[in-house]
Amino acid sequence: MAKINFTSNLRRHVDSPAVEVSATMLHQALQQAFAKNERLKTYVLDDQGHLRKHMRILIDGKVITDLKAFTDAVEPDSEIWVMQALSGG
Amino acid sequence: MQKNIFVSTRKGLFELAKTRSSWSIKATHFLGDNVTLALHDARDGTDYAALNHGHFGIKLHRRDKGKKTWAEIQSPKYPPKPEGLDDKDGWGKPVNWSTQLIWALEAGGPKQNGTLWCGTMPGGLFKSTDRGETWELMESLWRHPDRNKWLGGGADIPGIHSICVDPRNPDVVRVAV
Repeated sequence: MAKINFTSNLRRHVDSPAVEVSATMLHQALQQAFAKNERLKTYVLDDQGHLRKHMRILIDGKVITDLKAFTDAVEPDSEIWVMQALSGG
Repeated sequence: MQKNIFVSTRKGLFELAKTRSSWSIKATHFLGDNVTLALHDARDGTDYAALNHGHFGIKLHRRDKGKKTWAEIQSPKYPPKPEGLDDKDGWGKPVNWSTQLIWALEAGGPKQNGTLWCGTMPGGLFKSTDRGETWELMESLWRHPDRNKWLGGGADIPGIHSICVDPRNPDVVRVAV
């Protein structure tokens, strides 16, 4: 099964354990991860269900390209990471 | 007589108490987090705090009267943006239908227990009648044609920064953009 990991910085605010999912596309994987954790969803996605501006998702080390519908492909043994982008000033 | 005030800062929420000759920090909440505003609801003693977590979005917390701990509650949420809608602000920039700041939070009238008003960026006014458990976007204002002329004042995007509930008639609510 594919596995979704969340940045450890989220744990300060919301329960965000790694989740194993069965999916061929990212939106299916996210749907399973958020199904029992609606609060976590609001920390990763905005009101429109799109990826928050300064968040990034990687599948097997590659940054996803579809930040709205999450149509990127997921393999059965994929490692998915939900991270925050570096920013500052 | 002791008086308390909330001081919202980018590094946390500070609860100050006034003694006979000075102010002192009575309690600290959300240390290290950006608290954009706080509200003490004098009707039932409930406290509310709005946080901006940057990467992780806007959150709202509530503390019941006499309690020490806060609980996260629902933040105002914009409805799905209609497909193909060309919605732009006064600068001509596309409007992001997502709460980007809680800029105003006010209690309803004295006899409207649980009613709250919330002003946000990018310009939506929300109402709750259940102490922030759920929020309703005031569509009549959001769909007003003049909204597309609104500009950000001191910010890049428009927002509702002030809400005044008329003490003579709480059904009259005035807002400033």
